[in-house]
Amino acid sequence: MSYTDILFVALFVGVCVLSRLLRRWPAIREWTIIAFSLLIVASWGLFSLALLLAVAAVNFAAAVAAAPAPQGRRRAILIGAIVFDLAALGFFKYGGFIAANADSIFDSKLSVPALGIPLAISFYTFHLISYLVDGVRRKIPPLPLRQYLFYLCFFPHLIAGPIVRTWQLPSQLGRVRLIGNDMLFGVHYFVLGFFLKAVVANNLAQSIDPYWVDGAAGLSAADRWVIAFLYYCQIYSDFAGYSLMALGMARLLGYRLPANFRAPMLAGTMQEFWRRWHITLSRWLRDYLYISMGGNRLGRQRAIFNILVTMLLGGLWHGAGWSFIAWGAMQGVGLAAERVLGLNRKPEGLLRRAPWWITTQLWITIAWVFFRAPDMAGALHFVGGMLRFDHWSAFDVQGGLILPLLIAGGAVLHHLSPLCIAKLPRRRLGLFLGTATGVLLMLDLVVLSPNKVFIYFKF
Amino acid sequence: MGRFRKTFWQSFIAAAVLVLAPLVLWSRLDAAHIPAKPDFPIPGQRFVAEYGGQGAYLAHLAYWWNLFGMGDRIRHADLVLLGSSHTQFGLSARQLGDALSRDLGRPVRVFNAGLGCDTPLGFDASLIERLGLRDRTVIADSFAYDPDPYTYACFSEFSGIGDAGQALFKIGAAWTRFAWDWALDGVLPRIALDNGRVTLGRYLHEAVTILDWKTGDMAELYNPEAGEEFPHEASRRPEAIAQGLPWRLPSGSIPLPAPFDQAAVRLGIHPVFTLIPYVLSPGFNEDRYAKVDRLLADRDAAQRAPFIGIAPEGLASFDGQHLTGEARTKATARLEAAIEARLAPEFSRR
Repeated sequence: MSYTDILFVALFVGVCVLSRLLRRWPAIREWTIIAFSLLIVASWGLFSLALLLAVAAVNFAAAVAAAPAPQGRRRAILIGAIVFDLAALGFFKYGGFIAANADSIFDSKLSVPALGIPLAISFYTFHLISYLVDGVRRKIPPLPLRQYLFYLCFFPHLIAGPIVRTWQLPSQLGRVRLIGNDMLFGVHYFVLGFFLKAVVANNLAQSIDPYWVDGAAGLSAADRWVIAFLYYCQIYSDFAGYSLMALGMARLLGYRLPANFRAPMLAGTMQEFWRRWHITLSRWLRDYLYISMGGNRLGRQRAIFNILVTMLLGGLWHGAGWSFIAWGAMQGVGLAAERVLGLNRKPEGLLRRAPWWITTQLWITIAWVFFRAPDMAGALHFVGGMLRFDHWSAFDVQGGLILPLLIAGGAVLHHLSPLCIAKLPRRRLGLFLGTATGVLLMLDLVVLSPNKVFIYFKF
Repeated sequence: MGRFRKTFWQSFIAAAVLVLAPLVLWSRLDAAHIPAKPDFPIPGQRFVAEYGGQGAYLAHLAYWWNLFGMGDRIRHADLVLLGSSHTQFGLSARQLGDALSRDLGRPVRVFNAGLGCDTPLGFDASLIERLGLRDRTVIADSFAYDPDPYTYACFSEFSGIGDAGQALFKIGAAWTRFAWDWALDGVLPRIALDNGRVTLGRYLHEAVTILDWKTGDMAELYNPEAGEEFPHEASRRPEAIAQGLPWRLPSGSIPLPAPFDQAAVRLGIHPVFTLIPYVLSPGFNEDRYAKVDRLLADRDAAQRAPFIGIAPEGLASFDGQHLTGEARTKATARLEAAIEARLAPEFSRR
């Protein structure tokens, strides 16, 4: 059941009403939300639900067993649990990829059952690692069962993030929360997120998906740049839309989740990009991978090595395929190059900023080709065509791409909206947000949304 | 902060109403030019089996996972009709059941398990095996002959469903989507952004196939542009079939298709074959015609099965492939007459 399904929206409205009625009894309310979250997972298959519960049970038991243990033993238990989590992730997500590559290199005849990637495994594994590592570091105490399940399974973030840290959500539990603006911002975020996903991303996907299937034959270089840019807008609208819906759903239930996007197309450097794109993932990678490997404390060369490894693993986290690894490598190379050349400091002034902004955004746009193309060969072929400006016809853009460009305007406008809001007098903010939400709600209702799954649901 | 909230909600409602008003007006004006929407399928009487891209495989799921007791109705039927959409449109389980019950003097339950999406008999063989049919007569349309159960167009979506709960949510999501579109049809228009164009159309924007809850019969095929296409075709001129049928087979026997030879022996299934008349359109589904041709020409097959011919004279199709509602009544009556002559003793024994 996708979050843009009418059935889901209807059930969610029911849960909101129930949640309001139960607000004087936080424990019952939280168990109700946990049950609904598990129902959402079950709607994607009992196998996904069974695996989630099994992994959750092992980690809960490990955290409980580790809590009273001495330091060394506690560390061993929690590392054992993390190895278990990574093994489960490795088996289900990367088993087929590893077997296929081992087979092609060593003729090993490894066979891995084609079980498919269980729903949300990448996200809840990261949530669990965060919980366990913070436990080892004594940053947080072991959570009681209800708080633990709520933290892990809360449906707005369960399937595709934002990746919530243990200190961010459980501290909001077990209390009666009455915040007047939750309803208002919840509706605004949900309607805006729904618009970005259902209207912008799905219609862009419908328009440009065919270009990725047939190897982009007959496309000019300019066409390819436009298509790559449209995919940038599509994935932004898809994932930022989902994240806003998650924030909105959480707010409507009285909880707050961390923001995941902050106008990444305005980023002037790669480092800034990763502070604006999938913010909760980049923070997770920084805190639990990059810093754990030494971060930038062990010299410049080691820092660059750490960046490359972190981003390669970040790429691999997105999907089991060489093109995802290549995408991660491009992010790593971009970040490392900035570090080497000293360009990672944001230059002041529009004119000094413009060249870096253009370079960064072009590099990111090329990287999205690797993320989207069906395979590595397809990606290289597509990028090869992007760089082939050997004739005037290379600048031709197909007429069929004009409407998708107009649709992509929705994603671009969303980037510019914070600039508009910043210029508004405070007393006009309600008028602006209310009008925008009302108009977007009507567009959500009347613009046809092709049936497309959230991109990050597959990860 | 109270003022902020008040302004937000006031402007939210005002903006929504201002956008809504012209859309509602347009929709009201346009309502005069579009066909009336179909009657809402009330669960327990009818169900949506296909709604455009929102699941062309809902009946597959309901039968396979025995949802809403549909698998049980197939399991407990005295006679099951199998095949593709040709069977769905071309035969009436209710008419056949009524006629056989009348003739035999006892209730005869017939279920039409024909499935759209070009579903082959290979899938049907898997379905009856899964549902555990035993010692039962099935009537299968030879057009759907294909031993491979996994070749039909919807398989990739169908195979992604791993349990009954997941199937139930898939069906629920599609039915809710249909109910939502049905309710807003005539109230709001739909803006489509596709093929480089922006178009304004009706809210109920995709074709819908509605089946009878108890018998699996095709209750209605509705197209948002043309209106009802079956059983009462609104716009198309029916095409006479008699000249276009590729094979004219007299009743007798044909080689038993591969998916049934094992199932028939193991389960005690008595397959009887027929060929629901249709028009052979050049360039359309030629591989399927070739397969059926080969099947019928296979004179050396080890097992043979009874074949009941349905004379095409006087039958018509609304789209070249599927019978009209009127033709369905005639074809079912012809089949019933042949069954009575050839199979009545089998039913009498049970």
